[in-house]
This record gives sequence, C-alpha cells and structure tokens, in this order.
Amino acid sequence: MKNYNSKLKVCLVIFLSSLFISCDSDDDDNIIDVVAPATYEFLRDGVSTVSYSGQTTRLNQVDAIYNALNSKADDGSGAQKFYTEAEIDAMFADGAGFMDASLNGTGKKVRSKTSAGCSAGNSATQAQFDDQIADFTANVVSAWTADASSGIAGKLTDATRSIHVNKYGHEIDQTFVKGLIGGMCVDQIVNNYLQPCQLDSGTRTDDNTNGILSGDKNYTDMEHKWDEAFGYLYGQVADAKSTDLSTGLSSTGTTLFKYFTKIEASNQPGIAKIVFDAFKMGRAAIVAGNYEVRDAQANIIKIQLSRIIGFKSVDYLEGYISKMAAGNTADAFHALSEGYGFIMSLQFTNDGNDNPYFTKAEVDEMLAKMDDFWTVKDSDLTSMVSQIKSKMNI
Amino acid sequence: MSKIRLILFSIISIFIVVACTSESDEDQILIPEFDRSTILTNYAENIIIPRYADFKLSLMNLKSSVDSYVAYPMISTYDKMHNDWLDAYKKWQHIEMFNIGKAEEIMFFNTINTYPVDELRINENIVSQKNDLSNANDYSSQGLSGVDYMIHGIDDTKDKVIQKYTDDPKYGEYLKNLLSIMYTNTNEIVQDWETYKDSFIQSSGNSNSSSLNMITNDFVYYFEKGLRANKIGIPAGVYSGGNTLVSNIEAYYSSMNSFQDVSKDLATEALIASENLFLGKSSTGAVGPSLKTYLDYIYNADVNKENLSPVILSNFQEAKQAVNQLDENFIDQINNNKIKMLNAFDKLQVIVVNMKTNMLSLLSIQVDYIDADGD
Repeated sequence: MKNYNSKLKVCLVIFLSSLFISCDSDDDDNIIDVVAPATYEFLRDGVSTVSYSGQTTRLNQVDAIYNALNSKADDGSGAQKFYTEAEIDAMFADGAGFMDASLNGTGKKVRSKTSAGCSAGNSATQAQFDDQIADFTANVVSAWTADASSGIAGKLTDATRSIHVNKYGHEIDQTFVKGLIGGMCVDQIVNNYLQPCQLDSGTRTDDNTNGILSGDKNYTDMEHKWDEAFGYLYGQVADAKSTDLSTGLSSTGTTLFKYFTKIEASNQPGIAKIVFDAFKMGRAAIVAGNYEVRDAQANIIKIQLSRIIGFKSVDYLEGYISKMAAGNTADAFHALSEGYGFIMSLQFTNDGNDNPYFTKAEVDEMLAKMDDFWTVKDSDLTSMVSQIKSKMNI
Repeated sequence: MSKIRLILFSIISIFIVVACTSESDEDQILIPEFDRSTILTNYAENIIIPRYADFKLSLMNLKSSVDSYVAYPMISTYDKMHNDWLDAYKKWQHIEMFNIGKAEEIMFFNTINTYPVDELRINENIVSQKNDLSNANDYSSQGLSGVDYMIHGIDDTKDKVIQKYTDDPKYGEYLKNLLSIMYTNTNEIVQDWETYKDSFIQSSGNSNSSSLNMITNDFVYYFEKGLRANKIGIPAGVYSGGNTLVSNIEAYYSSMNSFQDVSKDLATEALIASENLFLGKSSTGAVGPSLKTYLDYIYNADVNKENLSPVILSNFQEAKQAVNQLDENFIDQINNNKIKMLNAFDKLQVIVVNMKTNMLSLLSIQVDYIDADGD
C-alpha cells in the first residue's frame, strides 16, 4: 500500500509538472487577462471587498428552523421544544423569534429568498413551504407520542431510527430543509446572483467597469452580488475567505454545503475544486472587468451545483427502496422525505442555458406520484430515478 | 497544446499501470486455510455465553432491588437499586455488540439501550399504565436507559424522585414492568444460546450468513455506531454541524441531575469489551483464538500482507487514553471543552477505519451494512 502510494505520488508530480508546461502557452487570447487568487480574498486598497454576512445569517436561520421542525430547541441544544405555527412562520418569514438573538431583526429573512430568483420566482412554490409548516404544527406535533400508520400522523420507529411524520409519512424537517437547498441556496445562486438581472441590473456594469463603489462600501454592486452567491454555498465555513476550499472540506450546517461535501466525498470527487475555482475566477473577472470570463464561470457553477440536487434526488430515492427491502420503514421514510425535498429542489436547477433540468410542472407531477409514502410505487420511483439520471447526465 | 497534454497523460497512465501491475502479482498467493471455528468456539464459550450469564445475574439483582424499592421507597432501597442499575449497565457494555441470533430477532439491543429516551412517551405510558411495550416506537421508553429516566429523571433530586414513587404507584408499576421485560428477553437469549451455540460454531465458512462474518460485522457496526457515534460523536456534535447535544449522552439523567457521573465509566467499559473481543479475552483474563489471532495467522503466512493486529492494539491504547482524559461528567466535558471529546472520537475513528476497511479486507469479509448517514 505504501509503495503503491509513493509510486502514485511520483506519477502525480510528473503529471502535474506536465500540466504547468502545457498550460503556459495557452492563456494569451483573452482580451483582459484574469488571474484567480489562491483563496476567495479580494482586496481594494488593502481592505477586503468580500462580504456575505447576510447569507451566513440566513443559513443559520435555516439550521434553527430545521430544529424547530423536529420539535427541538432552535438553538441546537437538542432539548425538546414544541413550536406553534405562528412561531415557525415568524422565524421563516420575518426573521424573528430565534433563540439566538443574533438571528433576529437583522432584516435577513429566509422566506423572501425562497423561490425568489430574479429570473423566475414563484409564489406558489413559496406557499408549499408555508403549508409544510402548517401541517407540521397542526398535525405532527399534536401526534408526537402517537403511533403513525397509513393515513395517520405520529411516531415511526425501526431498528435504526425514530421519526415523526405527517399522515403521508413525510418527515417535515427533511422535506422542508431539503426543499430549501434548492428553493433558497441553489436558486439564489444560479437563478439570482449569478444572473445578469442581478449582476448587470441598472448601472452595475458601468459602475463596476469604472470602479464606482456601492454607497460607502468598499465593493462595487456587481462584486457584492457575486459574493452573495458565494455566501449561499460557503457562508457557514469558518475563515472561508482565507482558506483553500478546493479540497479537504469538512461538512457544516444543514443545507447546500453539507451535501456539497458529501458529493465531493462520493458521487463526484473534484466538484469542490471545479466550483471553488469558478467562484474565484468569476470574481477575479469582475475585478478585471472581463464579463465574458465571468459568465463562463457562472455557467460552470450553475451546472455543477445543479448536479448536487440531481445526485441526492437519485441517492435518496434509491436509498428508500433498499431500506424498505431491508425492513427498515422509518429509515426508508426518512430517506424518502429527503428525496421529496430534493425533488422539490429540482425546479431550481439551471442547465447552463438558464433552464431548469425539470420544470415546476414536472416536479409537481413527480411529487404527486410520491406524495403518499404508504402507497408509493417503487416502479414510479425508479422511473423518476432514470429520468433524472438521463436528463442530468449522472 | 491539448495533444501534448494527451501524450503526456498517456505516458503517465502507462507508468501508473506498469507500476501497479508489478505489485498486485503478490496478491495471487493464496491464504492458507485457517480454522475459523476456533474463533467461534472461543467467542461463544468463553466470551458471549459467560458475559450473557453475567448480565442476566446482574439484571436479577436489579430486578429484586427494584422490587424492594417499589415496595419500600426510601433512600436505602433507592441506593441499592441505583448501584445495581449501574452494575447491570456496565455488564451490558460487554454484550451490546452481539446482535446475532435471538438477540437480533427480538431487537434486544434496541429494547435495552436506545437513548435519548422519549420522556413524553414514557410519561404517557406511565399514566395510561401501558404494559405492552413491543411497538418499535417504545424502544425509547424502556431498557436500562429507560430505567435511568425512571430513577434519575422524573425529578431532579433523590428525595423528590422517591416522593413520586410514594405518591403514585404507577411509577413503580412501570419501573417493575421495564425490569420484567428486560429479564424475560435476556433469559430467552441465554436459553437460546444453549442450542444456538452448536450451529453458531459449525457455521465456520465465509459467506455473508456464516457466523464469523456476521459476528465480525456486528462487532464493527457496534464499534462504529453504538460506541463511537452514540457514546461520543453524536453528543459532541459531530453529526449536527458542531452543535453539541448533551442530552444525547448515555445515562444522561444520572449525570444531569447529579446522581452519579457514569457515562465515562460506561464508555470505558465498552472500549475494554471491544478490545477484549478483538483479543479473544474472557472475563477471567484467559486469551483464546480471536480476530487478532486470525490477522496474525494471515501475516505469518505472507509477510507481504499488512501486520495489522499490533496497529489495532496500539489504536486501542490511544483510544483508551483519550477516553480516560475525559471528565467523569460528559455534560461538563462537552460544555467546557468539547475538543477533548472530539479527540476521543478521532481516536475511535482510527480503529473503525482499521477494522472496517483493513481488517475486513485482510479477512475477506464483506461489509454487510450501509454507513449510518448521521442525518
């Protein structure tokens, strides 16, 4: 094993040096040369121009709501606490009522950024999230110690886990947060902040080209919009600006970044470097005023982050089938709840041509087919899996 | 440019292929026959069956001290019951990994040590005088973890707990029922081993359903999930984005309400039990054929193989040291310095990797479970 490793290393060194040799002659044809820095740190007059604290706040708010939707204290202590619909609505829609006071009254709200991309927002989808909160507080909380069965909300246990489900078997903390991974995180990145309708809105292009800053800030509007996209993925990573995020990621939070690290560790090793390089290169292109390079990087990010949704939809639908086959109903419903949320998220993907891989209508049709976990057909799930695989090329 | 890259890449690929094939030839040497049944005999006769007998005895003691306490709720009967509970809980650490045969069939592990417990459901069960706890939703309402709640968690001091038993006989009824279920199930498994032993030992092949494959998988799974994740990782926040979950420690109520800090003792006991199984060591200290013996046999037969057993043994030493450095009270440890807890987790993780990846591969045993995802 050790021998093998060292041989591999030697090969790698030779290979890498060959890359350096082969790349040098290449980059000449760009009009404005764009060089990405080693980390996502960009300075103007020695002061950082990168800011995404609003995204960090919203991701932390989602983590708190995730706990509330499992009747756990929203500060993450693990203590049991039951929430009313009004309480969770306030957290979701108003950014208020969190146990962590730093999440309250910041003006940052999750709901207004859910299914709210500048290119294709949809208030009907927003309402689906409201409905989940209502269903949870009205029907699941009241049946917390009851036994669940087909058509009856309650607790469901197998040898591996216990979950609390609605009458269709949905574990709502899962459907909700996995839905938000697409509905907020991916959507805000690929259908909002990386879009011309944000980056180039108003005078932003000219302002950026001419170095006109946003109010009293140290950044141009366009720089900031790109950073906000960055924040929806990396916003909970400690020292994200000064760290090489192309490798060695450790999972944090409950949303997009958590699954990004999972995909890096399993389905698509190397995705972390592709996405990080694209974020850096696109940001450097904005600094250099090269909008062609910027948009090329945006496209890479759109496609790669969409793949996360595709991979996890497939994984959890297949996971449901194998867990049911092993006789673990609760574990299977847990997986299918995650799958349900990721399927919801599919409508927020972006194929690089600013079309989702699956439209809202297609997604709603899939959700309808899998809505009742107690009667869902494996054949329907496997046909969804093959659709997703072929359409997304995974 | 791309042509040059392609050519270089091809050359390098050839290098890699050439470099690798020369090595894998050595894998062709066949592993000499090893009599797996010797391990099974030692495990069954000197570890599993005696450890079950110990647990059953200890549970009998707890059952009778619970009976006395419920009949006469007072400090003296309480203290004896508490001590017997702790003794049974320690003995349990030596059998939790044997999720095989009758134990697997009746979900023994789930009914004895599911935590955190479901306080609300226990409270409802007490009020409704529910005796049938066979629904899977009641795993978290019973067992030794359930007894922890019943004697340390229904109120926050010993006097107040005793007062509750004095005032309302339903508490005593529920507690006695928990012991009765545990004792019945344990007895059933102990009896089953009398006949199951022979088929367990005879099933010495190498298929997914043969005994050594199953017991080794159970052991590695237990070590990964029951020990590493449940006792250390989950409360330290490893699976919750760094948010610590102190109420998820084992025997939470005993520490929480300052009855006695026992979580570290239980974790230590579990680690010793795991090391003993790896070594083939019985409670008397006698050592027999084991996974270690098997690994040593393979290494002796072919020194090109990895000499893994000394590595795993030193991993165990380091893990025991890391656990030993923890505060007796895991709640305090997690709240004041979770890094030490994470350090212990990391040391346990090294063992998981060495057993699950390297040991199972050397022994040609397939992993028969999917990774616990942790979400």
